[in-house]
Amino acid sequence: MSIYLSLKEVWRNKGRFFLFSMVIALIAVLVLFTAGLGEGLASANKEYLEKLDATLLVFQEGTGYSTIESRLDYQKVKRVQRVEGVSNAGPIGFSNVEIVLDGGLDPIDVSFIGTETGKPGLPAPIIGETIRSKQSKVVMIDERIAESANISVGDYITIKSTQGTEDKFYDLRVTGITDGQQYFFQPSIFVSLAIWDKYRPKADASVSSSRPITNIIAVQLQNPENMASMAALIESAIKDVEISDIKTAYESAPGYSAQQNTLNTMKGFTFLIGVLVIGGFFQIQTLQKVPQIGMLKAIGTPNPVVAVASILQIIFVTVFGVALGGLAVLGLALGMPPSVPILFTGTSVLIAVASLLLIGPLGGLVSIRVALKVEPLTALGM
Amino acid sequence: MKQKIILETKNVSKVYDSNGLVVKAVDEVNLRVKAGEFVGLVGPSGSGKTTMLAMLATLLRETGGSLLIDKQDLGSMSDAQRTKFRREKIGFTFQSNNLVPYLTALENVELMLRLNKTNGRKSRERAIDLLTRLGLEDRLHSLPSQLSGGQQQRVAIARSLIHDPSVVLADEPTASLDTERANQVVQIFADLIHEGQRAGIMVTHDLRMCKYADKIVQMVDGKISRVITERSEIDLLAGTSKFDQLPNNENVEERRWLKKRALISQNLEHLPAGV
Ligand SMILES: Nc1ncnc2c1ncn2[C@@H]1O[C@H](COP(=O)(O)OP(=O)(O)OP(=O)(O)O)[C@@H](O)[C@H]1O
Ligand SMILES: [Mg+2]
Repeated sequence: MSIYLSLKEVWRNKGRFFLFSMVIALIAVLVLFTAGLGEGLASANKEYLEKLDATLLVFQEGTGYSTIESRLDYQKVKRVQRVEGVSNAGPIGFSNVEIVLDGGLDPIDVSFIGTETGKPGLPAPIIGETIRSKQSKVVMIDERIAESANISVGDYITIKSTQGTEDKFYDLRVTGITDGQQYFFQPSIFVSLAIWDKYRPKADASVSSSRPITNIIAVQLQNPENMASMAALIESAIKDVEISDIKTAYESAPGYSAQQNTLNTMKGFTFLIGVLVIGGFFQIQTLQKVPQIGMLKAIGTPNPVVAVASILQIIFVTVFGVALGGLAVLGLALGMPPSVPILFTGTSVLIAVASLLLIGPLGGLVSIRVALKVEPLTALGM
Repeated sequence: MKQKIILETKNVSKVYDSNGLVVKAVDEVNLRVKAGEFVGLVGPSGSGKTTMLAMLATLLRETGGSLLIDKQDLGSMSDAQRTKFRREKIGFTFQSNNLVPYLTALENVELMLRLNKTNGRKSRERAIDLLTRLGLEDRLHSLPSQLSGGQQQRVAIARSLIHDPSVVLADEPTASLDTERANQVVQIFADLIHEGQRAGIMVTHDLRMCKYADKIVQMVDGKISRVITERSEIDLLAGTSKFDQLPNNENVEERRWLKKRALISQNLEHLPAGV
């Protein structure tokens, strides 16, 4: 009965309800884009770390879990490896280089990451082969680079790295392509730590690589559940290090939390606006319907039927509006260049959709109250 | 043939007490309506007519006495029971706002059946038949906004009868209609009450509408002041309205007032006391 009444009402007032669905659709587009942007920016920031096959990260003490500030002696990798309960440990070095492209194309800025074969830190290729030897001049590249610069396995790429005041160019053969591995808003390329140490940009070209260094050490545990106690154990066993889990590491990246908080505030306010707009609109609408609701009750319509009918139409309109907005966002997302940092796959987008669907019922609570309080006697003008 | 009594009130009273202002709107009223009997309820403004209907329609609880419909004591029912009773046993035509604006004429009538979960193909045919009798066969699928006032009231009357109620109530159903339309509507209303052997009560300010009633009950100050059952007297009452001759643009309030005064001052004696 409630469904019948609300469907009829929506159907016979298609224009008005459609217009209102459009408002909800626009709110949905806003919220979804904000959520997508948050997800996209976060991912661009942390994708590599988040996908990293390790439980703990070892940093130089006092660097506040900053991958760039941290410098570790290569010897520490071996020492970490020997700690009881550690199953594998690998060094990771981060820096930035440019891939130089022929044919007048703009160079691509990339994260230049050095890792060791068979250690955590080197992602598995989705096409081609992984890096097998420490000294071979091969590279694995992020699929984004492969796609945008049209590079395939077997091709050579040239990287530009500044050594002192001089620009140096190095050729590397592409041996494999990895899935998305962005870090610090740049897609990544992977080489062995030895090659990395040789080719990475240095302030002074004469710095010898006789004592290789690494930025951090990724640690796999025999039992990842012992994360906390293992962190303490490693910290006490090795001098001058601090340990974090992966999540703490990317959340400590400069600007990450501030950025996410800003976006979350935006989402929250847009959501609030949605609730208020819907609530206001339907409250006015319900107030206008008081005589009609009174009449319905006076001819014997039970109170719950009237209340449910008034919330159902709000739900219809919201669901329709959110679906409309979702489709619009989908359409826009498909037409967007891959460089735009918007991602619609993460949980935050799912949460956004779920909360958008809550806008209606929340805003409609006032209307229900109004509808429930109408006295059937109003039908008699009393 | 002795008709069975469908509706009966015993010393029923209603006292309104709003913020210390006590109004005795209905004062120990005894009223009986038999099956197939159509009662015209008249009286000056504020005499308690609407209050009376509201209590009979289970929309308002009495403060004294009792009301019985089909031998069921309305006062003893819970609110939920009264709601159910209302949609099953009572048909109501209000002065205005009778129809759901987003339902067609036919859907508005069927609404009563839906509420009682008796809708279906058979009952739809009955609804169409009823609307056809009321001259609305061409307007079955019109929305209320596309209907004239008289057409809307006829839809409301169909709605008040379709679920086969024991009691049919109407509060000034012709207030917004011209004389011709009002006559049509009340005549069909009376016919349907007679045919269906229902107990019907119509509140009206238009004495001419009384000619379709079988009994006139006049209320003054919450009490029944006069009951007319003689056909000749009813006709006299309905026909003596000399104000019919007034031009149409005459002030409506004044006409109403004059009519009421005419009724009250009418010298009709030897009426039985009570009902
Ligand atoms: N909700 C209420 N609260 C307080 N007093 C009320 C209420 N409703 C009606 N009354 C009073 O009860 C008395 C009877 O009112 P009622 O509406 O029943 O009269 P009526 O005969 O229908 O009048 P009218 O011909 O103007 O429709 C009036 O004095 C009115 O002021
Ligand atoms: Mg009244």
